[in-house]
Amino acid sequence: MTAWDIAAAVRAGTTSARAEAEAALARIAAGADLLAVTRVLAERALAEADAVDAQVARGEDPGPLAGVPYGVKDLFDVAGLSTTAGAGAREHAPAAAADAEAIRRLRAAGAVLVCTLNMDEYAYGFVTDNARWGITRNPRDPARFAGGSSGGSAAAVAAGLVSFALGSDTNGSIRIPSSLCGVWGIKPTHESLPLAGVFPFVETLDDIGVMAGSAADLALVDGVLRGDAGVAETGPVAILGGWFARHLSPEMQDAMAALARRLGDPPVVEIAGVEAARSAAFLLTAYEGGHFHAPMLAREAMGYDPATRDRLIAGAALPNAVHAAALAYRAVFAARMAALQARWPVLIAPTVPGPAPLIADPTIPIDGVPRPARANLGLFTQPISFLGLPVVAMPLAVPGLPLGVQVIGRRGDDRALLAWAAREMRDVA
Amino acid sequence: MSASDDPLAFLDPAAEDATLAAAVAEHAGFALPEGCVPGVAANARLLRDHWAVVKAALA
Repeated sequence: MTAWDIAAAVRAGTTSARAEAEAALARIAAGADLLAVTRVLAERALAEADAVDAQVARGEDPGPLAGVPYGVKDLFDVAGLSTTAGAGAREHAPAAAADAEAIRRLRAAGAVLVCTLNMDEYAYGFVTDNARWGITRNPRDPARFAGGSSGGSAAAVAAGLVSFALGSDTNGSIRIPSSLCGVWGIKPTHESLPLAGVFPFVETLDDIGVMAGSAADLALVDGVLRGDAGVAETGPVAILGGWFARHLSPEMQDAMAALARRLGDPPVVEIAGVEAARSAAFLLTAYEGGHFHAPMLAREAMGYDPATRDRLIAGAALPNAVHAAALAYRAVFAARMAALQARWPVLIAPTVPGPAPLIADPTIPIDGVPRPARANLGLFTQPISFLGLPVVAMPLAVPGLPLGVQVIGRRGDDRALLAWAAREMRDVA
Repeated sequence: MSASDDPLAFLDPAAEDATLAAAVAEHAGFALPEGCVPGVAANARLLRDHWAVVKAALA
């Protein structure tokens, strides 16, 4: 059932929040092989569900997410639990004193937290290959990655364990797993959703967002988090070519061609300097992530997953001048994008070059050369989040493995973008 | 930008892994455990490549 359906049924009294929570807990137990869930919060979930049912019994409205079970990526503070950020070394860290602000808002709207979800260690990766909690499997083909770093969130939604989940996106970590698992996601305008109580990675780029099974659920939960469920309008659409048309698999080439036809063949436009935008995002990430972790790396480097550790250490050596140059380039690229979006407020680009990579072959081809998927799946997502723009990750109705596109808006156009995607793309998702 | 102005001049991509990792350690300000050397060197080369792209775009 969708979040809309569950909330409507709970509010109408035709089902109970407890029954929905128990059903979600049973689905989570049955789906354990996916390695999407890291901690099951049965006691908390049933207590929250009972509180919702008590409100209904008193004739009160529990809110727009009444009794809807959900999960959160393992970097949100959950009162009474260690915030692991996907790191085995933090498994026994002091417990969070309070819920993250996003969880508080969802609870106030009646939602029921049932689990925490797997991720790449410290969110530094695109595959959810976690040294402590394992590799999250793609529900559409367990031999393949779910994508990352919010892979547990995407897999949990795709497998129907929960109707929505929270993730975070610094360089593509909501958009990539959403697309590889065939669900909807939103990376909001930078800092437009609350980051309080979320373990940081790269302050300049970090955002939280929702992943859901439908555009309607995405808009519903985003509205609760944002405190604004309004609907707005946005303007004409174009498809991003150039960099975004290179490196595509045959399946993605076909899917993009089909999407263009369904949209009436909108113009294909290009923006200069995308490769440099991706490189600058790469450097910002390495610098800020590396410098944030430097004191911990100096004390206990061997407590990290080696694949995360070595990236962070290299980043810790980057001097301030590199960070400053990356930010200077961002201003250049932002001006180009603003000029483009003055004409075309909605831009569409592929999220990923092709279907989810096989776990047995963790590479993607770039210019014909196999490159590690963990670091390179962000080829098309990094240049966009670099600018802090809102992006809806939309699954495409394609045969075979899931594929997805980014629907990119102007800063602050989040609600308009959600409405546009739900309306205009309903026949292609 | 001359070599002396290049903030990543200390990362010589042609250097041996151990030399490159030692340069990273010096600039990061902490000693590297032995097992980190190949991975740190590979990531340092990658960052050097990305820096070259950004530097060219700003030139």
